Amino acid sequence: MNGFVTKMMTQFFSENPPKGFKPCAYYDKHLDCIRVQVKDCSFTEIRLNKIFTIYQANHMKNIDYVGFSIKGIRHLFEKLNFPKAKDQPYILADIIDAIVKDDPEAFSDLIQREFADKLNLEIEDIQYAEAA
Amino acid sequence: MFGIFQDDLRKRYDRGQNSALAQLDGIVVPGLILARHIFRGLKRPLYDDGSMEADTQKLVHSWRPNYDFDWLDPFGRPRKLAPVKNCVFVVLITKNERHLDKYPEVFGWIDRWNWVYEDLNLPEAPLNWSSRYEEKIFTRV
Repeated sequence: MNGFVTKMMTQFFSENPPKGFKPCAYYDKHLDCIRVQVKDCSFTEIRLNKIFTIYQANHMKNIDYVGFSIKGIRHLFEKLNFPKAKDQPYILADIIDAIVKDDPEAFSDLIQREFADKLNLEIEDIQYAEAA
Repeated sequence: MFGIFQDDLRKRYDRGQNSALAQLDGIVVPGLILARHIFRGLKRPLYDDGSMEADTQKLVHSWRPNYDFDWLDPFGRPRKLAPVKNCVFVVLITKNERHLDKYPEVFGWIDRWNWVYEDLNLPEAPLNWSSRYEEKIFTRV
């Protein structure tokens, strides 16, 4: 395997054949955040607010976003009084649910600001009884 | 001298995050010493390595590299690409304070590297750097 700049990486990949990427969610302990990535590529991190960052794909056609991160997880867990389960995995949806419930207006503003022009939703004259 | 934990490299390798490894090889290692700016402290709560105030200990290096890299085909080679327009590259580092006994030669540990949008008011700095970081501690002239 060639194409590397450093001897360190040349050596590493000569001993370890590169693996294929699989979408993943994991806890980044150094930056205390949960990262979700669905495609391997170069990307630009766009900070939406103190909690959410999205990953915008670079050099890719037809792909806009490839992941996101939720920051300050341990702080959030304490603030939201999230149950501590050392030996059990957390469910990502439960974490997002707790964040949204803690500050629904901020989350709504965020969605409106970032996605309103892309979602292009027209909602008018909904009859909730009928919709249900 | 900067270091990176072997476990961190191994995890990226196991996940198949090959583009990040190609960027480490092609941008971070040769370019970190050429950083245009260094910022200290993330303005957000962060717990790391036993410290409840790890946000104050993070250093952010930023510059505009000449190239980007990705590695989409693991059976192929890393691709050398044009740098991302209107963006700068940042490397987040934790100053080595807790592991000095074992690694006295290491100044800081590389935690993370990625592209972010550039601040138009300060070339080669991340967008909104003054609201993201505590202070700017170095600028190369």
